[in-house]
Amino acid sequence: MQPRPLPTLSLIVLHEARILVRDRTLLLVCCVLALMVGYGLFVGLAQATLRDRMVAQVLKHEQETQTANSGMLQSVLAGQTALIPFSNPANPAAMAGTLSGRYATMLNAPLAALAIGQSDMMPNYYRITYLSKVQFMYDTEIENPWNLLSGHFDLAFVIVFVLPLLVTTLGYNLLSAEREHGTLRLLCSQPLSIATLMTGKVVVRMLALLAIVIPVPLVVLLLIRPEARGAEQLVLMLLWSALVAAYTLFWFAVAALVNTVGLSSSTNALIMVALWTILVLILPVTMNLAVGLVSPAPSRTELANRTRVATAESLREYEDLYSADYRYASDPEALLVKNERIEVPSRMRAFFLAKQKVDERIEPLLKRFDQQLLQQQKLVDRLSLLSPAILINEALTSIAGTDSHRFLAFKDQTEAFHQEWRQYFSPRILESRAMTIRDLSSLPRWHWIEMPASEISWSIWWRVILMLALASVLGSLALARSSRLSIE
Amino acid sequence: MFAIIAAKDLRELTRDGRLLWAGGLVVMLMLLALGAGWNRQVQLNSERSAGQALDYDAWLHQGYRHPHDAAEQGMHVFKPEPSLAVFDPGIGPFVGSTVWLQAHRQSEVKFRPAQDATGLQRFGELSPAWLLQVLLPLLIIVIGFNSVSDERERGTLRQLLSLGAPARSLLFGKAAALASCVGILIAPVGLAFAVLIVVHLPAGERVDVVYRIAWLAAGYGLYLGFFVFLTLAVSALARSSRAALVLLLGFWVAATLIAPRTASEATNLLYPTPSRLDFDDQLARDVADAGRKAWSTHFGARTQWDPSVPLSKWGAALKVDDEAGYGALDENFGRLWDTFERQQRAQGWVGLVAPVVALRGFSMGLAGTDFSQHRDFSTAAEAQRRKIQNIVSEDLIEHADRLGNAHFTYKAGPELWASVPQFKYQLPSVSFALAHHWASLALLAVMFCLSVALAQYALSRPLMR
Amino acid sequence: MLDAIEVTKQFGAKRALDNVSLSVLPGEIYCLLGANGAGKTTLVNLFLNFLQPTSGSLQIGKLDVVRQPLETKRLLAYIPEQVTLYGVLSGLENLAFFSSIAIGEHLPRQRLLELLEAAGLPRQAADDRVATYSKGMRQKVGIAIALAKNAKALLLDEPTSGLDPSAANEFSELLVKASNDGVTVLTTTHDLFHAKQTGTRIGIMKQGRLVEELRSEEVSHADLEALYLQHMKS
Repeated sequence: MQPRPLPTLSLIVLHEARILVRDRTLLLVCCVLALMVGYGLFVGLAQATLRDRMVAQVLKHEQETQTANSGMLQSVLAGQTALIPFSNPANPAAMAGTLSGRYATMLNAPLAALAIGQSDMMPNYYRITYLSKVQFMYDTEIENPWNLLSGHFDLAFVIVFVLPLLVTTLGYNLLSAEREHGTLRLLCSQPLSIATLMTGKVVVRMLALLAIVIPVPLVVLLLIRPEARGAEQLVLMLLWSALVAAYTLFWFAVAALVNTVGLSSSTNALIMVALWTILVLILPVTMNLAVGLVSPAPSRTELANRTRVATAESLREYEDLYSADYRYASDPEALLVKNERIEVPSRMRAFFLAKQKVDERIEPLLKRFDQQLLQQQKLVDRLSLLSPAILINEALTSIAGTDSHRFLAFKDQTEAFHQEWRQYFSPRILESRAMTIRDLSSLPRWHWIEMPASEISWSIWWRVILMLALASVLGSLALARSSRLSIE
Repeated sequence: MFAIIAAKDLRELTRDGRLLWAGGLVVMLMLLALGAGWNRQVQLNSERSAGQALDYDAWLHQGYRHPHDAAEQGMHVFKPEPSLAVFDPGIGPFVGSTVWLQAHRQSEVKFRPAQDATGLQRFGELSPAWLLQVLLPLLIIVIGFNSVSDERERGTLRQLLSLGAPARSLLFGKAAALASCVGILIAPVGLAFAVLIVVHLPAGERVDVVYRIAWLAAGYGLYLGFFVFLTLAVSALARSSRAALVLLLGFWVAATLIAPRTASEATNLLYPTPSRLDFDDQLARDVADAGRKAWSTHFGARTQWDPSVPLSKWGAALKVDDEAGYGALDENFGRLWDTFERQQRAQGWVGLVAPVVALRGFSMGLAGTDFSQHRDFSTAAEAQRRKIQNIVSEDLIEHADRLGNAHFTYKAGPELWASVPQFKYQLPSVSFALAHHWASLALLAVMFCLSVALAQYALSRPLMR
Repeated sequence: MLDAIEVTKQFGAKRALDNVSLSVLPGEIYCLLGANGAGKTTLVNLFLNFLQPTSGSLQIGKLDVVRQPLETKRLLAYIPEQVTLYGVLSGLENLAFFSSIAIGEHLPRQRLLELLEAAGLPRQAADDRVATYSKGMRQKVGIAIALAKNAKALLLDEPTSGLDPSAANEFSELLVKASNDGVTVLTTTHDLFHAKQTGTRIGIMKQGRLVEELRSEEVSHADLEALYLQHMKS
């Protein structure tokens, strides 16, 4: 007779499904999972909507300021408005600073609702003026620090932390329950290998969990967020599904391996929880500590000191401009545009120049912060090989576009734009050229350049493959051990 | 009888590999966390006090300058790290420590360490407090889940009871054994650390810190005691060791992992946090409104740069403008911070099902790393900024306003700089923390009593079923 | 049909089986007698490949148990002392599951009912959940599984312990009927009376060794008892 592994496997699968349905464990676990997935998705969607709204508001604000500025400029040029030095749109220094309605914004990635990641802390817009970077680049999103500490209950949390626990609930006694119950002897007196038995059990449980955790969020996203329907997004969703499936498989492989040691159900549960604690709780926090030690961020106190020194130096450098005669309050006529020229009040010129100088002076230190953070991120990428929890967390946030990489990119692009903004105004301020209506519509514009999708998907594929490799090593170890398992 | 049972249980536990492995891991992590925290704190504190001194020195020696430009350079103030932050960094990683006090803007505390960290930071911070709050309850469950059920399954319980051991002695004996296991692990490290901290402090701060440590010990004692008795109760009530284990682990996961996040999401719905944009908009509007009102009452002008307000009144105008803004600033920031505190208070109720929430608030409060103490610092920093601003305005009124259009040619000297006192921030005392967190401690005490009562009920029921 | 060839099984320092050779021919009912810990159950476990021998080999129908575990199990049916089944399923469902694993096809309901009836389970109990069954009823489901498998060899571990006398008798009748159909039976038991009654051959084990083998028609009941006690004492 030929061996018939497949029909036997399907028999086991059907049988297990029936048993699990009858004793209600599966139902309970699936309900808990569905509830959490739903709630996590709700939280993620709420946050994503909040950020969407903020960007929309910012853009509206930008539009309004622009309209107001050009209206004002027209009336100023027509000589209809009383002139105020700091809010005269013809004055390039005012346009570069207080009147600037320019924002650098980063839109949510289409799948942002899948993981909150760093988005509750990092800003998704910056207001661009001639102010020094130290003054505007360190604004953060407003959030209760207590809540930041607790963390959000988003889908990534459900997947990284809770899913392995549910796998444990379903899988800690894969074999040990049959043994303790006594059915294992009768089963194994049949032409059935333990490997087949275990595979069948894992397949049922895994399908049940994945049937909830994968389709529910994706269907909801496709239904209510039209931007999630593009081809690129579908690829990302596919990646996301593969990632979640691989992580689930990893934990089932662990459960199977633990079960082949042949200990009691209680001991198995203890071992599983210990492994979960180490891989999901202890390892990430220890690595966070290690990353900080190996590649520490430069001192912020030093930055504060340097900022002070740079500010003092530039105050001294432009001292004459700062203390120049200031007649504009009593003589507003001085601010009139004549032959496309305007007198830029020397104090305003001083502000502009001083800020520029401060940035030049502290630039090297700021670069060091960015480099260090990149260094840390690289370290994390490498260390994530040690903990599947870190691996999947990084990948989930990067699919959602809420990872550090993307925020760093946003910061970089903002800095470049800030530079461009200043360069646009610098000659105008120095040469006292008045702003014209045409100028107002040709101000530097912000364009967010999205990170290349191929780069993201490549790094995620790589992680999926890694996770699958890990799972299959553990799984095949479990299957190999199972053939030598003594049933007693 | 009680002592005999405790001694027997303790011997059993110490011979079991579970305590050795899990306990060893916890102690190792604890030492690692303390070492890293201590190292970081020593470095930060020396850096910050040096920075603070340097900054004030630079302020004093900035030379001759227009006072308003001096306020532009401003002052940096640094939040001192409370000495117990090594034990519990609290919200530390998520709030800044540096304020740049400049003219015309509310000082915001900047540079959150979490901004200089990767996404890993969001998994949590390895601190002794985290270990005690999250891992030790798990340890108690792991070594204690079968302490009653196993005796029943092996039949030794029948034996014990037939010998006339009262259920009460049994309960407290077992509790004492479990508690001493935990004690053996944390007491030496904890004591050594407490002594180290206290010895390193200046004499004036010692008493306060000793009180804080004592209160912390009480809080953590109640919390861990809760888990000891809960474990015994479930072990006695559950049908089997396996059921006891599954129930206890389920509770642990729900209470320490899921409840805090759910609670913070729920209170966010209850008391929504404004987005930065909304907050900034509102603040700008309020400041502008207040400014307009003040301008029209003081100068009969609509704006700051109205031609009817000559530069000869600039100092006075500045003063009016600033003071008008204070109200709006206080109101807006006050509202935001009240929202944060309200959110946290609402989460306190979750402590009734998940004591870790109550303990966490209490612990960071006593360690001096909670929001109320951060707010206290922010308020002090803002007060310093206003002090600088007021001194500057007064000086301008006195000297510069007479100069007319040459207003900005005025230069103040070292006497003026010296009239701004150095920023000295005294961390609030232990009574401040207790006033904010007594409710959490009371809640912990109630939970502890409830768990003792549950355990007594569980062991007084007929144990042989 | 069932052959153990110079089998030794070592558990750490303890030798559970010591160079045991035994051969059961088709149609025979071989009863293994012995005190607790004599190695009877270990021998059964070795035939099932639940344990692997330290040395020696075991064969079922000339197939090696260790090398061809699935093939040998197809020839074999096993009824443990405690037949444990899935409590949340009915007797019929349990039989359907185990028989489909055993023979690789689904039997029709009618056939399953016939098997249960042949095993002696009351018709009305077939659709009740097994959790409500008595030990005897569960054992009958176990027999039905063995019947469904149409096994060439039957391994039984203390099959009659804990059964009331009439159920034990019924069981013995089934065994005799099976052996008349050419099925090979190896059963361990404490019950000398039943061993003499149903067995064609009897082996006595002591401390891991097979110390006595005899044909049941060669000895009287009293002789067997005397012989057994003599072995136990020495």
